[in-house]
Amino acid sequence: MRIISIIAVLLAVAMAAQSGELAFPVERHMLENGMMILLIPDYSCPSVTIQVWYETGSRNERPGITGISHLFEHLMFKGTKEFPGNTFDKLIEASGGYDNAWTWVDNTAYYEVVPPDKLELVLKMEADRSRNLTLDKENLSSERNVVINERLWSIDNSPENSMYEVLINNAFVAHPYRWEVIGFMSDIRAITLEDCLEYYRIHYAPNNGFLIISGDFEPSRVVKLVRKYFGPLKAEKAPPPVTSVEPEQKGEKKIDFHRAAQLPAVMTGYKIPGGGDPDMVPLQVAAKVLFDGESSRLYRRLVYEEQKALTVEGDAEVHHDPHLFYVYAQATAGSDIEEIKKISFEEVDRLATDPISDDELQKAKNQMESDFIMGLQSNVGRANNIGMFEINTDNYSNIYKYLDEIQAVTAEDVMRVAGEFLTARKRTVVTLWPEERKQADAASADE
Amino acid sequence: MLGKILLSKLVLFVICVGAFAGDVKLPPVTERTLDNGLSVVVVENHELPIVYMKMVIVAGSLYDPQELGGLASFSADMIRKGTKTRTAVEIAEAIDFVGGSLNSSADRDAIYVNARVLVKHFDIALGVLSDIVLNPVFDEDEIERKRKKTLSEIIQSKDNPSRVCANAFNEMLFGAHPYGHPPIGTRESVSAITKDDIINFYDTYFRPNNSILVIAGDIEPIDAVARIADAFRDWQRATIPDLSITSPAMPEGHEILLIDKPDATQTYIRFGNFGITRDNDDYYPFLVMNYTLGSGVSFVNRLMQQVRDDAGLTYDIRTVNEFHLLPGAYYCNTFTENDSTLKAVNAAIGIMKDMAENEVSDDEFKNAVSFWSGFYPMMLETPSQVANEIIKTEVYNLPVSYIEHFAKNIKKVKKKDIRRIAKKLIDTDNMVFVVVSNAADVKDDLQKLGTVTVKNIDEF
Repeated sequence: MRIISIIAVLLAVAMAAQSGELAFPVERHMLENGMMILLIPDYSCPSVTIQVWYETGSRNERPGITGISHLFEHLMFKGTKEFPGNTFDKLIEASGGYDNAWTWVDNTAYYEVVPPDKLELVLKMEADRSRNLTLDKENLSSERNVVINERLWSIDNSPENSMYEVLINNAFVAHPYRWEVIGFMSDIRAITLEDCLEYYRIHYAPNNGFLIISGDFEPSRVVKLVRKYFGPLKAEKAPPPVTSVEPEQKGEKKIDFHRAAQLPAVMTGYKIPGGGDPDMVPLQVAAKVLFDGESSRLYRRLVYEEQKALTVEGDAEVHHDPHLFYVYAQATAGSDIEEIKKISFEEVDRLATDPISDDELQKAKNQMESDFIMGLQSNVGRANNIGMFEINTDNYSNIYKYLDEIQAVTAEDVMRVAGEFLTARKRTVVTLWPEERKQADAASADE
Repeated sequence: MLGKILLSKLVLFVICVGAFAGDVKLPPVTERTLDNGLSVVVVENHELPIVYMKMVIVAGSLYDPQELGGLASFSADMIRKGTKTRTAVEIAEAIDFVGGSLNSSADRDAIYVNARVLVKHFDIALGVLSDIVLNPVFDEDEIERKRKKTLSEIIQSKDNPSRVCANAFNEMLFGAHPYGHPPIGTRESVSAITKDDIINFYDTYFRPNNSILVIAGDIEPIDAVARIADAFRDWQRATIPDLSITSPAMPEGHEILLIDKPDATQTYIRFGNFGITRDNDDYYPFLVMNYTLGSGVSFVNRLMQQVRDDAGLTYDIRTVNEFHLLPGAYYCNTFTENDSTLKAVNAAIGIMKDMAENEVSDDEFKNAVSFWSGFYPMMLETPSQVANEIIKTEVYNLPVSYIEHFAKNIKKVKKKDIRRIAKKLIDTDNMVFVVVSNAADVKDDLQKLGTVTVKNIDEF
């Protein structure tokens, strides 16, 4: 994230989802240079969302330059010869619109929300910065400092986020999912201008990206505009594929993590499949049963009945490659973290031995359906979902099957996937032990 | 029951505001006041089968009695923890089962009870929402559960240096004024809250004539109002006592508190003094001024441009006016590496001073006006967003036309108005500063700004 915005980005309402059928059409076009264009027209509100997705994220990095995807996202706002400095942001904001970007493990996405008459300007500026960015030592140096501050703030000064970093650092051995999107501090400090130039050339070529336009526009006109600005861009050799496959985990990993914090906590990650795997939906149902709402199993037991935990949360993380089903619980003052661990393991294990009740299954399905529909309310929401389905499952049109897939899940499916994936053998457990404050902690040790 | 609805305050209006170059047609809005005084607003939007229910009780932490900071927040949470006919678990289960959400919380000025469900479950949501508002029992066991959880949350909040900084800043600036304590309360005040306090607070403020219910989404207003009137028909009005609050004193000179967090590798800074309320005549000039200076909605404001983009001193810097019923704080907030603390603060002060002393450029002025006239309507697209804005007009006593005339009013702002409000709000000679950092790294530098008081983070 270039910044954490305080504004909830929720826009137009214009989709109908009834009886498992999604009613928003997506028009697909391909440019000769390999760039895919997805158009989602909707005329309920006079604004348009433009998103440029590059299929590169921390997954595409290597040790030594971890964090380059995110650092590079910052550099994309430093201007070009035609639109120097912060002209990009200035023009967007002066139209009453806004723009931002976010880097994730499998992708980096740039977006603008503008009045329809600014669509052409945005396409022109996005195409321009995808190839003509001003990359120099000064820009790199000032943004590097911004990112160092971002890392200190978002990871090193947060017990929960630094636990998550320790979890992925230890759960993954071969796969690049083992480092945080923001990268290791020493790598952020070491990335060179040459690294950035190389990264830019390979990963920001049109054949490595796709464009989603959603909202108030005329598709045939927009296709012409996209061809005008993105059409002439030259395709590059495809980026090197990510070949590392995470080896099977064959035993529980237990990590004691000591840092300054007020309360102990535990974060567990179970190895699960990647986004395209049919077992992911039953695993999402399992997550709903355990974590969603005050009536969920773990909230009720740990937070409400036994009052051992202040918060409990978790989810089946959907990414392109196999990732984690995580469980996080923070102790209340005076509670024993070992008991919290025991209870959360018991509840996870129970999913594999006893079928969930019909009511629990129905509740989980209702929650998933409702969350999914809520997420499709706006132009931005529809574009985000389409983009994530493309990134996670290699085909955006899988979004249309999702409601049916939810409905098809049975209690036996949940039992089966819990038995297969949510096991002690496949889990990594990080326990946070608060320690007395002292001069050096994880943050400075990393520098 | 339509017969029970008092029709004298019937307003039916359709808002159209200019969005970007054109107009956005906002959904039809119907407002009724029931005869017990409950104000009901229905925002129609039939594009998705969703309904939002937002109940506001004007009883936020501003209404916490002295020594009982956190009472509003405590009471807000407690209403979900059991009624005459439902246990806490049954309440959660009823809403979770239909895939909806239900929460209740307090901010500085009001308590908000929000529910969101697919429209086919409207009756379930209305049933639960009216039950928790009308019939909470405040069971002793549930009170102790809530107290234990809140005390742990207060302890945990020390892990968040931004929050420690914000709480200490409010305490220093507002002192004994109710905006001086965090809405959640303190260890001492939360430990002191009794069942009688909660019942008292509930009986005093949870009254229909002190509340607003906004329903937004896929519903017919006549039918919705009838069902709401029926659900809340037994709710009795009562006189709401006036608050008597002494205004806090302006800071004199630079009052600097340094909170020592020896493990900190990054400094968290908040400094400023008092701001304005939403009904201030200079509200629109303020928005234009702050957009140019350091609003969180902009990447191109002066602070972001100079302190973040050019100097690389921070990831985020912003100036914020906290809009409440009474004047809140107007402050600058940022974080930076320890050794650049003074540099970042001095840069920010210089930029703020310049804003107070000199006129903005034509370009800045034009861009700021143009930003707000397009951006504001764009933030009013979903029924939930419209509902929230209507709630603001109700809670903060703004005319209904506030929403309709926003863009027009922004366009009326003159350059000289910007300078006037900047001069009024920005007084860089008299400010409270709170800095959370490793004192050994930053104390000497901070002393260049004034006398520094140091406290250990464990004292908070």
